[in-house]
Amino acid sequence: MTEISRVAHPTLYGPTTEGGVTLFGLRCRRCAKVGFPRQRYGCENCGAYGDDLLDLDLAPEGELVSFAAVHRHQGRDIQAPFVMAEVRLDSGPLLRCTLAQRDDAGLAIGKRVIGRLVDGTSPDAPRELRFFVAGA
Amino acid sequence: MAKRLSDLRPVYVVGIGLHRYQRPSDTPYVALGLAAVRSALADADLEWKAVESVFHANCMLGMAPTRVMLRHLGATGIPMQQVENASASGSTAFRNAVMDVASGISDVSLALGVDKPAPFTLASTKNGLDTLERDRVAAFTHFALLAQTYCAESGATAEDFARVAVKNHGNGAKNPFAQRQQSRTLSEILDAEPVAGFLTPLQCCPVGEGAAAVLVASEDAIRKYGLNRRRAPRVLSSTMRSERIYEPATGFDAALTEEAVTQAFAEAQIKPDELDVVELHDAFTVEELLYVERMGLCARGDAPRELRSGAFDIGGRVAVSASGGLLAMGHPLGPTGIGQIAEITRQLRGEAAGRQHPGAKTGLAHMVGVGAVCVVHILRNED
Repeated sequence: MTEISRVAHPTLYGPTTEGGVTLFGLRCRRCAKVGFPRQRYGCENCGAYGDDLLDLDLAPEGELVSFAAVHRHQGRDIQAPFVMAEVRLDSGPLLRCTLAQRDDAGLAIGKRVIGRLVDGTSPDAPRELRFFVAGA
Repeated sequence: MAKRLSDLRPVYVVGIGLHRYQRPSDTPYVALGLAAVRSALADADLEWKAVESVFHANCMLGMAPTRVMLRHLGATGIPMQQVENASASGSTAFRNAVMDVASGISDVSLALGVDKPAPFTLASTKNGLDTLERDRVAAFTHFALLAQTYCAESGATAEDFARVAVKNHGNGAKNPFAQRQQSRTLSEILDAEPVAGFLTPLQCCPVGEGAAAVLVASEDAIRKYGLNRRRAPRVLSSTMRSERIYEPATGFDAALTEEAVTQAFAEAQIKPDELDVVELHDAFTVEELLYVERMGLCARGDAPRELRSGAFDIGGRVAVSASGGLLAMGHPLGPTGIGQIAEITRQLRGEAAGRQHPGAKTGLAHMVGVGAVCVVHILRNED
């Protein structure tokens, strides 16, 4: 595995040659519904499956729908505080994702957010997708 | 849908029994369950041999727990099955028991919920698809996100959420079966360190152990066994819905609730303002505000003001979570939905000493299960 491909969730997103990141989504050939993550099981909207589900790269850009600063968490290798968010991508899907900031200062529903790859928590850790408030 | 419950023969709740919800202990699940069933049989004045089927809700006991427990009542050979539907397991088991009687398969059926906390894995973690943040979204984080959205839409504040907890902890203090039996002040709720967003620990339900049992019966059985018809509310509707795609794709819990409740009202042929008592899925405070609005108990965005006015208190316009709800009575998973039916039955009989809502005739029980599903029942005391 090359250095540039070492991301935390390689089936969900990957780096672009321009230094950005792209999300691996899909578009249903039958109903045009755009979805994330990429899968072939079937379209949640119309039931089309297999080759009717087309690969579609999604830009990690959208609008903040909700957010919550998490102060307690018992997950392995995850240290609170962190900020969870719901982001509606410009392409349609709603994502749950982690914001780059560790508190909710300055956040407001409706703000523009952009996803970027950031270094992992240790030198050997893969890069992770984090969302930033645009212009911050 | 070919038929509704109202097209089938009438079903009545004839017996209720509970083992107190409590912190996990060394008490075997068998002891919890037998206590609840024996209490329900005594309440109905029925013998075990009258029971013709069992639907046992549980999420964490493991495979095949039912006969191991119920053989101690006498191995009568009746059909027994486990029911798992996440938080809505108990509600689903009750629905199964109701349908078993309504269809004429059985005359007396037992819905039983027994659970003890144990490690478990959601099947969604094994679906072959990765997610961005599954490990980071605990249940309280999911509802903290909903709370933030609700604030933006309604102008609600952190205090409005805390007031739900004050009411429900106060109700739980009057319920001998509740896990949490202590009234709390607004500052006790509000001033604690948050776990996520607006939510503080006492705004999150405890998941402990316990048991709840409900016996349902046909009119034939009521006559055959000489049961007290005046203590037996009728089940007017039983509805279940699963999540669809909602646009905009937010707040599916509330949208799903609205769908299921709307169907329940139509089936029962009643309107929301006819409800006297409601037990709903208040695992986290924000849920009560969301759901009372979607149930039509008040206008959208008005729940905080109505709560503050006392509309949802015992003795108010409609008592919401008179048992203490999941927040105070607790949420042991399997028993929870059946415990709601027990509380509503007690209220409709006028037997909820210390927390009785005056004149209660009609009640609604509502649970949401992760996945997501929503189960709603409406009961009425027709006498």
